[in-house]
Amino acid sequence: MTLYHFGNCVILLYIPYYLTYKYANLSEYGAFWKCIQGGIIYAFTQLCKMLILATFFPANEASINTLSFSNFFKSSVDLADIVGIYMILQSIPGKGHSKVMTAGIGWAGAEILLTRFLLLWVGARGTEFDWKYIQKCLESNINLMHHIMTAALVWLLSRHDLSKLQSKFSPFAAVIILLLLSVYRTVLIDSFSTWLLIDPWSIIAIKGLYTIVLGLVMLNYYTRLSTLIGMY
Amino acid sequence: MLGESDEFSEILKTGFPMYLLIAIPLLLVMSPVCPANAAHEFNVYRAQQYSLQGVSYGSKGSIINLEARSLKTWSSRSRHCVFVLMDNFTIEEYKQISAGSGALVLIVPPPPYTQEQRIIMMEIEQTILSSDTVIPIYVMDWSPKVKKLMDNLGDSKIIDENASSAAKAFINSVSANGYQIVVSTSKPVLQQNVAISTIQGQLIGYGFQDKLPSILIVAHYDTFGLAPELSYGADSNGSGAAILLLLAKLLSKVYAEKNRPKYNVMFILSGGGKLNFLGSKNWIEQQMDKSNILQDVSFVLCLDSLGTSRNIYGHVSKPPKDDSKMGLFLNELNNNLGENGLKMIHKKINLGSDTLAWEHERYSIRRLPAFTLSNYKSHKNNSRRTILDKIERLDPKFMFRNAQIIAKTLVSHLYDYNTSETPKINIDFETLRSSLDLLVLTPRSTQIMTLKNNPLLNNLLLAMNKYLKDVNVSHLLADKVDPQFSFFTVTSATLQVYNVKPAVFDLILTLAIALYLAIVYLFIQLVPIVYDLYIGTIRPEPVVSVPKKSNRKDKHR
Repeated sequence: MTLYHFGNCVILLYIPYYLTYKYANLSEYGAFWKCIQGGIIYAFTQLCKMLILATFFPANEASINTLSFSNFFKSSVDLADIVGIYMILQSIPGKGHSKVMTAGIGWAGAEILLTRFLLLWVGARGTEFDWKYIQKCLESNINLMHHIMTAALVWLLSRHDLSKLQSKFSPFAAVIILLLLSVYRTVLIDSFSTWLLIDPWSIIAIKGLYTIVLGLVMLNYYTRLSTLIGMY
Repeated sequence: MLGESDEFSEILKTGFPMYLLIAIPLLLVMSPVCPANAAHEFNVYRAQQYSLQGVSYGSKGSIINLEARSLKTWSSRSRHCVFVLMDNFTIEEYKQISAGSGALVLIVPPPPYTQEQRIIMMEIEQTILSSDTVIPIYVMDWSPKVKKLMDNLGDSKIIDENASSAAKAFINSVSANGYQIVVSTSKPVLQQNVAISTIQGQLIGYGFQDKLPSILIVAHYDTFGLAPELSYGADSNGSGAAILLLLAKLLSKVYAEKNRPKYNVMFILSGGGKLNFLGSKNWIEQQMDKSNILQDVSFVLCLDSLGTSRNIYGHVSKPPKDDSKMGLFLNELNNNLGENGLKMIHKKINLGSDTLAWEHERYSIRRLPAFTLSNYKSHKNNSRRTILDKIERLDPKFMFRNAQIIAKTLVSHLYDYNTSETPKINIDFETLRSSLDLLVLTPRSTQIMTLKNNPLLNNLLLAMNKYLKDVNVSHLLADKVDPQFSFFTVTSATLQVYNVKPAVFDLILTLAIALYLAIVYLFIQLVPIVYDLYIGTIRPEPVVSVPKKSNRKDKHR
């Protein structure tokens, strides 16, 4: 029965990735190994982040969820993710949509393999039932959306034609703001929720909503740029 | 499903899936399901398992891996671990549960108790201690975590027969929280080398030691109760042993004077007081064999449970003659006690009974004049063998008064009521307090006192050595072939509580996940539509675009 529960969690965790991969038609581009390549770059980036964290930030577990400057600086290390995604985009010769999708799925896929699978293997098979494993799986689904969005933003930023977009507000500044909002998403929502003492289910809902809203704004810019450069 | 991607199909064509078929079961077998991360862990104490004179008592089991239920929801048809508050339990219910094959966890409610609560709890305790059962029985202390667990068990809807409809009953059974109780410990085995230790020491009177009459002061220090590690025995017989230590200190001062009394006084801290006074029995037999100390005994004074009231009962097997030493002492004690007086209770030794009533009967059998002083009127009082007998039960004021009067009477007896020679004695409350603390802060059941170098035993020896001469310990080991008493291991364990869901719940969860995945699928299909929508809002740019089916693409999610 607990193995069955583990199966439930795995299905919840991986099927959305598979659906995304399939309906983005990545298989037509032979993108599978490129996703794996993206995953390797993900692992490398995380290693670098850990080195930086271990070197410059003394461990103080106590205040992990409070809003403070040290936590803010700590999560600034996540800016390295942007560099990592940029490297993936550079190393993928594909064009347009498939390139962004490949980078996002590769990145997110490596993340769930490295951070979630062991957790489920050890935790969800135990005798003890806990909702947190289902919650982690749902959160991973949201992270998939989040990483694809980040990849698209990085791609936008890397385009020189971005400034040619007609807009009342500098599209360049808008993309930067969106990127910052997505990088600091975790620290924003976590400190907000510890402050207001929100239960885990609401946190997932807030994360989902936050990501969808950012995603819609980003999609607006993305659509306009891809129309501008004639890419479908 | 994976065949859609070329790379996957290639992988599938190799032997890879075959390896997986082997590797996954291997992984499943090899990786332990770690039981360490239970939601709650409690310290529990196993009920007594012992045998006395060939009859075994208590609970024989120790291992539990069962679903938890409350008294209302358990059923005898399947095996359950029943959680019960001790004061909310009847003997009939206990008999039903102990006849089954589940397990029982008794929770000691928080003090203070009313008189009825105490009576109920002590009756349950005696029932368990005087019967035997195969199910594991554990005792657990009260704590807020335990209360929460009990509340959850109480409202458990797992088998709610009052549900108004089948649908509601079904929903209840899916949403219910279950608890799996695991106690993984070793199986109880016969405890080796259990010894009943008796400590003796004496004060020598003025004159030829061997010609002086002697007085014996006896108190047993061991305790007994439902769970060995919870038996603190504050009143019975922590109070008696503490008064004995106090008398030892006091008389050691008296005996240091020049005109010391013409009596030898022997102090005996006996073990096995709850095991038919085997410690005293063994001690008497040893003395009979090897010394003449029992030749001229004025009387034997046994102290048993003197800490809860000002009423002192004197228990004798044969009424003393008024002019005997014992008669004189009891009269004097009666005078000193004042208005309440000493109430004498005469009970003949019942040789047909398996157990003796009071410790003095061990001495009376040997024709030594002996009596017991106690706050209890009857030896059948359950308060003498209970885990509820903790230090809060003692009334230090009464205990101090009782100690003072006994000490005063004893000293004047030692000087043959010759008031001019009798030294002034004063005892202070602190002395009593410290000897009491030495005893009653640790459980003193026989089976946990028997470890070599037991700290409590060592401390008692030290205390006796400080005041008395010829202090030594004698150990009574159970006979290997036909043991008079035997105990079993596993006196405490860790109880783990796992939160579990019924099996139906996982099925429902699978359905919910399938529904969720369908929504994710629709959402992914929605992204191209939003994409098209955005394109529709943009003025056609110079680049002419052929509207292509935009079903492939992008921001998918």
